[in-house]
Amino acid sequence: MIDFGLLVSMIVGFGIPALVARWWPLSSYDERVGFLDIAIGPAFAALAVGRLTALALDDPSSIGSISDMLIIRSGVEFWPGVATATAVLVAGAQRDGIPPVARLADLAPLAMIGYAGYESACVFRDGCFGPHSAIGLSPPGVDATMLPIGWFMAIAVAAGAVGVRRLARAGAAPAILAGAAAVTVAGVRAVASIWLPHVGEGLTRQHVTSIGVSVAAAALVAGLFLVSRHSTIR
Amino acid sequence: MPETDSARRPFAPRNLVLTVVVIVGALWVGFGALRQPALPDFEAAGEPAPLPAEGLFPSVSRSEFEQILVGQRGQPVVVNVWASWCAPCRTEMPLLQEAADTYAGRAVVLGIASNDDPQVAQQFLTDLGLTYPNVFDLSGEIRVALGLTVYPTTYVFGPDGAVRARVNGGISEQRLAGLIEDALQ
Repeated sequence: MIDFGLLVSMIVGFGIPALVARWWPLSSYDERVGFLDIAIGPAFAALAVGRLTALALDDPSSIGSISDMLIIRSGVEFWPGVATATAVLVAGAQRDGIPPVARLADLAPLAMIGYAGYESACVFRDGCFGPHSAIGLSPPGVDATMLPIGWFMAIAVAAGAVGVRRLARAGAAPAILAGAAAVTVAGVRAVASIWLPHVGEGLTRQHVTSIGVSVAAAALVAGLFLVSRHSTIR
Repeated sequence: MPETDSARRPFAPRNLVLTVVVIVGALWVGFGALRQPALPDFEAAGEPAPLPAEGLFPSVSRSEFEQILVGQRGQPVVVNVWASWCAPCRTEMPLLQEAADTYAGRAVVLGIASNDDPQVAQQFLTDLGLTYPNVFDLSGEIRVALGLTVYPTTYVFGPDGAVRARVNGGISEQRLAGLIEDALQ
């Protein structure tokens, strides 16, 4: 059974940044290279690793069965996927003789727009469930109206992308740009997880990992910022 | 060979139109996917019967299944139809166990193995360590009554016994929690 919701989300997640790239050109690539040319490889590597990680954690016996791995709808682990995409991009940058952090910083705003696009399509998946609210959506089978938390995530991440883009134009260091992007996405996911319905007590795996990544990335950005200030003062 | 205009400019009008067409097509497919599967014309009737005791895995007829549902009136019942050969079923059943534990006393999770071998299905439950109630649809009449089209399928019955929702295929944690919480309101 094909997960049409995920398929639609992926198409929107690639399509919107491909359009935005028209106004936000990438400086670390040849101008003839389009966003989709750049993004497809790392994204599919991320999907593969994120999927395998989810299976390893939730259903290890499915690993090895291609049909099970492709068909089962048990999700993709987000941060292992992001780490994989980052590793692929770093390898590509080294091959092209470009500082890896500079390339990550160059791609960060468009990647954030892509993630915002993915979340904006939450209505096609099960990602729009939020707290009960007087305004919002009524998912199938639910009488109450629920706040479409995925749309708020999309708006927050898109606003973060604009902020990172502005920081880049203001001449911020590439490491700070990449770190700011990670802090924004992880922070939004961590905060949104508070309102996402879940079964059982305690925090979900998504919630815990997003908190961990946001704290680590924030510490990294703060450290880099302090070092750069110290260097400037001296 | 000279480069074409579109090769030099990745976002030439032709590529832009293609991107827009792809997005519109995706939205169209997506809205089709949003349609909720039809709820079955099914209403349980009969004398109330209890859930099977823990560790038991009885074969039941349609009328016995309906009696079990009648016996649970007053609280939501999540009915999950599964089979041991169905990989998505295996993936979601630990989630259903967690839901059964979390909502114990407020909602019920009831599994129905169908189109399967009883011994294999029993072993499947044992291997996964599942303790929520499960029954076996030996004749297949329960899955016919519920209008089953795909494995797994999850139905949510409200406290009044009416079918409130149906989820074809694997169910996500968010959706399961959302449906149960809403049925508890």
